[in-house]
Amino acid sequence: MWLALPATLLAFFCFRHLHAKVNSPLLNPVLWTIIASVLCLVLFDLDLPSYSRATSPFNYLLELAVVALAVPLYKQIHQLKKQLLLILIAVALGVIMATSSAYVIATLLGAPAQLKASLASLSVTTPITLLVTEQLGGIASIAASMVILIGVVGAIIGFSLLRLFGINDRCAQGLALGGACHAIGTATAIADNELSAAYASAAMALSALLTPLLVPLYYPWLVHWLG
Amino acid sequence: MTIKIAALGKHAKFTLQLLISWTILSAFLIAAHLMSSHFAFSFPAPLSAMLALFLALQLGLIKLTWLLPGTQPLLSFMPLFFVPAAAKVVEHSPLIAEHWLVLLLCLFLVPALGLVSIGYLMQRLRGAS
Repeated sequence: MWLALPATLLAFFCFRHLHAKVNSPLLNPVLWTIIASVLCLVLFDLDLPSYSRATSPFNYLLELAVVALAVPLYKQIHQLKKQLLLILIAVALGVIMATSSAYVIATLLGAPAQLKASLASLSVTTPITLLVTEQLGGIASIAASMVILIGVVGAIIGFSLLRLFGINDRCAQGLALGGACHAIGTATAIADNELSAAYASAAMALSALLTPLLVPLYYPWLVHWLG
Repeated sequence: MTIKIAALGKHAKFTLQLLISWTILSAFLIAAHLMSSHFAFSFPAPLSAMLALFLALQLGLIKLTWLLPGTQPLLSFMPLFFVPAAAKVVEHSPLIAEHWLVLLLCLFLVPALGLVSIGYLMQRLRGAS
């Protein structure tokens, strides 16, 4: 099992190299490293607690990376000071919209409470999702996989969907991509134009700040009223 | 020889800057964990640490330049760190098989609604201001 950590590293760097060559959101390196890890766990019938122990250094680094998110947040707030209030309102709406839509879909289709809690914070960057989902009693691994897949979907349909609804303002497009599709959406905005990229980065950072403040308060209220 | 010494000095300086940055981040994280367990907070400790560090930066208690050497590699490799957490999804395959439609609908509707609502509101607000 000691191989789990170096094998994950190796797979990630291989897929990252491939992604850099092909540059398609479908070849997202994290998504494919997760798929490869799941396949290894299933095919070799590996013990999950041993796998968790072997890859535990990642947990510490993940916590450290969450603390480090304060840096992009600080940088973006200074850059977009003048429009901060507008951006805050729009991103807060995005967080509420993501939680509400997932909860309504899950409730209408009779999903159990644990699955509903796992879908409560899907628009934010994965490390924040992991923490918020655990706080709400959901399944962190389902939330993490869904967040990455949502990022990929957003990267593929994002700009076309926004134009279809008449949203042609580059600032609004960037903000929507960063706020609804986190890091993968932000990467798409970065590849498109600088203005959208700045707004997408700000939206992603603010979403990381607002989600852990809003969702743990809003979600119990949603459960109380919708059941 | 002089070039080699200069290169070594550069590496040593970078390593020292990286260590200072990671020590600051770790100090905030450890303090948040201690506070969290002492006061029995339900708010996740890494997020409290992130907010505390953000405030420290805003108040000028911590300089951005002290943090950048360590935060840049951490943030660029961040996606790698949640691979094991996401791979544990295999534990819940019966639940996923039973509720695949919920997950599939969420996969398309949650980002679509989020994109359109944020984009539309921002476009209107910018137009109004």
